[in-house]
Amino acid sequence: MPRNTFKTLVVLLLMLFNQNLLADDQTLSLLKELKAEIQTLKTNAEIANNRISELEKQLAQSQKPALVTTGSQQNAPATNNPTTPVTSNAETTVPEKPAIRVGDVKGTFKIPGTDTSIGMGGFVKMDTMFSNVSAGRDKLGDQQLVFSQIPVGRAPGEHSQTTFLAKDSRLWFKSFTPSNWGDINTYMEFDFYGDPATYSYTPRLRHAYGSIGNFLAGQTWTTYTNISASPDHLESGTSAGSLSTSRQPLVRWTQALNGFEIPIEVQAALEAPRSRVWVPNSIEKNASNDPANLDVSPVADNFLTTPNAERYPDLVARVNFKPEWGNLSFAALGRQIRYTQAKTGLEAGSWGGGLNVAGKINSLGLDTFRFMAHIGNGAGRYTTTTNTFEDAALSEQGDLSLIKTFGGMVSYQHWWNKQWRSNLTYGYAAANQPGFVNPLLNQQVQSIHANLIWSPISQTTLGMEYIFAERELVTGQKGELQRIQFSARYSF
Amino acid sequence: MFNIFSLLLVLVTSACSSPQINPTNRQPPTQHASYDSRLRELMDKIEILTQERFLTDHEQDDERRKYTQQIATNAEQLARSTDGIIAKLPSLGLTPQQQQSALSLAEKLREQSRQLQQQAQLHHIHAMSNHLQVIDTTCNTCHALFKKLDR
Repeated sequence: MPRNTFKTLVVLLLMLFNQNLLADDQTLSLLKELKAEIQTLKTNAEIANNRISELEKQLAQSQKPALVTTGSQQNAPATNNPTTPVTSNAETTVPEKPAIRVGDVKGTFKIPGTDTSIGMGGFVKMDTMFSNVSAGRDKLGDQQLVFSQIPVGRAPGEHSQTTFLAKDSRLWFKSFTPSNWGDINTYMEFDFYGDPATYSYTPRLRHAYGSIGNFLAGQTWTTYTNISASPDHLESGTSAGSLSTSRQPLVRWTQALNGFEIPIEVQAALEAPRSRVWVPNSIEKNASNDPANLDVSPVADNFLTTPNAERYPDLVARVNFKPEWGNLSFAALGRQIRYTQAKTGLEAGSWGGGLNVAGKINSLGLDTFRFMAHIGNGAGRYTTTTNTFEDAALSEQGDLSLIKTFGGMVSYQHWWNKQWRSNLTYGYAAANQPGFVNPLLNQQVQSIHANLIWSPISQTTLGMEYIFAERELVTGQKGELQRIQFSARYSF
Repeated sequence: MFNIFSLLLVLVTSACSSPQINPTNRQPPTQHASYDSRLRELMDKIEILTQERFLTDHEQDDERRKYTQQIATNAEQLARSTDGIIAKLPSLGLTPQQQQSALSLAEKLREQSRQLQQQAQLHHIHAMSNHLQVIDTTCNTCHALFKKLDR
């Protein structure tokens, strides 16, 4: 082989070998890097696994007391309360306080250790009222609409009135407990209308009732009134023609009827009997009936007395229809009015009653149409505002005449949007007064309410309302009230 | 002549009964929109219950239960109405990918409606409000992508 060729071959071989060496170096370097990275990942994984183990141990430690039971509690019913921790040989456990849990109904929390959910709430409401005429010093009529206190004619000292009031503020408490006999609910509510004096804030019980399943007992809205059909007003009273927003002690059974396309329920109640009777001075003289105490001008309060001689409770039955488009109710009332003369012991009594239809009908969007219509004989107490009409009148001869009343209310609620709404309400009610009664008693009343209400959030409501109310006496004289009311309500 | 006239008559009547202009085939998408609208109305009614000045909180709870039952019924109907949406998809002329997306959104709407129904049956009002927002997002997404194709 020529020497040059051999040299060339050697050089080529060396070059090849060097390239291989070079490639090996790169590979080795890469392998080293990979090895280092793998080692790092392994180390990190080990650290993570150690941390997980540590956390698992801590979790097991914290749950350990709840898993241990004593012998006497093994058969106890399940409650919200964790069982008493047991001291083991290896370690001592710290008793845990039970956590507060959300209750079974909105706005409640569970009492630890029980199945009872309790809640409280209410609102603060400030009313500012400008009235064209005053009802008199410390009269309820300056704080809410009371037809019997609308001045008729002009008496010395009568003038326009400004009233600032927070009496309509409320506080309520409620509870809910499931049971095998049906849900047990309790409810108590207070406002501050206990004293009619304008700036006296005495708490007053509005509602205090309990119910188990279908049976309710306590003080709440009378069954005769479909309260959901009441108009949406700022003032705390109600309109002429509405059924009375009376709350009274009662017992009530509510039964849902199955098998109908529309949900229907019937209610039957026994309610506190309380009647208002007009009695002539010759039979009973009291402060309001004594001519010596009456104002000269016809700006006097009612002349009615409460005989407190009822033998039977007021009987009420109502049927509620609850379709998707609203609700509709028909109610019937039966009651006995009785009066016993203190001097002679002569007793006069008569059975009367009433019928009404009321409802709240969904209109366009969120709008609603509400109405009430009623007729009665001896049902004056359940009509419009307090003491507008009496239930019966006693003649000089001792005969008891039940007073026939009738009336109605219509109200339309319009939602401009989800924050702004308005209501327009008209109501009218009248009574057929016997000829022998005091001519200063009410013959008819009517009212108009118009308001604009703003609720930027559900807990706050601000609004303005105009009220026109008129009453006409048996004599034909009329009294008129015009009022503008500003209200602010903050709920909690 | 009579044959031509008959042929024309048949052609015209068959055109009038073509699926594209039959209003009943447009019903499923409208139905689900009306159920959705009703659901929102019912939630609004629950929210404004606190403004009822005479209802006690206890009575408001009873009213809420009535509305949540109606929401449960409407949510179930909304879930069922997605079948109509899915049936309508082949006639919209979508690409396979679009078909898949639309189908996915419709099935999502069905699932979310069922979840809303469950929450309503349990009277979980706060959770219902959240589910309605989720349904709203699904509806808006589908409308943005496909509503114009249904014209």
